[in-house]
Amino acid sequence: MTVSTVGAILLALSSTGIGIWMGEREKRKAKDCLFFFRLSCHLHKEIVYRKCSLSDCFLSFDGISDMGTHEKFLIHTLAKGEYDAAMAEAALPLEVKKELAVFWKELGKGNILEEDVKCKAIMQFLKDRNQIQKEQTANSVKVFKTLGGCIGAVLLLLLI
Amino acid sequence: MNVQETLKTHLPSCLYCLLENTADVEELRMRRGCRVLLRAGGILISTALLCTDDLMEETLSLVTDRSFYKHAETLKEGYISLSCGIRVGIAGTAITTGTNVDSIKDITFLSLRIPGCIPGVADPLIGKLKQYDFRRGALLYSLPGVGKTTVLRECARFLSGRLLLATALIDTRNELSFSLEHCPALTVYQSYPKAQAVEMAVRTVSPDVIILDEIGEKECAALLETAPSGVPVVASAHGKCIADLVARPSLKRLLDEGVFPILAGLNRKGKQMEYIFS
Repeated sequence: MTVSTVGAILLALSSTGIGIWMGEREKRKAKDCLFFFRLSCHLHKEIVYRKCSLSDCFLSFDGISDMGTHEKFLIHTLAKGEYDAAMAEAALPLEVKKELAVFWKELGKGNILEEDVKCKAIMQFLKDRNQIQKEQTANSVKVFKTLGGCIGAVLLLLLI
Repeated sequence: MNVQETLKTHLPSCLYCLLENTADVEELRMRRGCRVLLRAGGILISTALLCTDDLMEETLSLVTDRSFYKHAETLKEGYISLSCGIRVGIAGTAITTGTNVDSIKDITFLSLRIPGCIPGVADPLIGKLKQYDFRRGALLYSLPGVGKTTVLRECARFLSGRLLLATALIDTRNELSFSLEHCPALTVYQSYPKAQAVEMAVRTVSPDVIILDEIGEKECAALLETAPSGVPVVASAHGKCIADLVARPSLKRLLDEGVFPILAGLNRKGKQMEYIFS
């Protein structure tokens, strides 16, 4: 096997790999969207019905939900009030990040009624966005994986 | 969590350093745009630190745990209770409906009072109560900030910890019961409305003595109601002299009924507490 053949195979593999990676990134967006939707529901419940402090609200979500290290990091960063750091780490579409940034900025600054309204608004927004993201992800993952695989195969054929 | 840890958690680092570097701080006072003041030994001291808008916002965010809604009820009454008996007094612009305060906005002033434990500070009062075999009540009066709460706390510690007298402590603002965790004969009514807690204590926990801070009109009515039960009450009220006390009709009635045979005025000179009994 010549060096060019090995190179071609490697290129084809990387192209397929990139396709898979981009697909996974889309999946993570959907996963994070769902995560923030569930978190907003939890915050609403804890604030309105239990009047817990924000840090307790976030940390109690850690206990009730089965989470990976990424989600745990987000929760503990949010609990410390480091919203910007959490948003930088979260894999979310830009518009969701912007909406959440406004929500974090205002969260905890009003009375129970105001917090109720804020939480319900963000819950609805995330619910809708979650649905859209779900559909987008299902299509994008297929597209990215297929495209990556196809480009890889074409490159392999051309180079060999 | 102890007082130092609570302060570290609930204050910006610059304010915490300020407190740490000054001895015997009793109070920290901040007003937007002015220098931060500290009270130590009863005297206000100006510091070099300016209370900027950012510093005020950060402090408010930390003392409320970024959760204003959690403190909405006490904020209406102008304070926030932190753990370890620390009380944060807050003033700003009230949002009202008629005469009721619904909420508070544009907070411009904040005063953080740090509780003190002075062993033996209540000894003269306890001595007086002992003369009556702990069967009669006492009213402690002084101007604000002199140390009524500290005296009542030490009194509760002695009565319920040493003498094992069943003591009901009415602690509406979560500052009176600080550091009294190891008093076996103590029943703490935390965050209850005072008047309601007095009636509840008499009916349900058979106290030998009831201790409560800063009695007002509602509490006087409740005390009058429960006076026939014979449970002695040790309470405090704001006032410079007895004339200030009797000027309030509800308090005058209590005094006339003999609920408080012991009247103890408090004065402070530096760290020394003086009692005036009558």
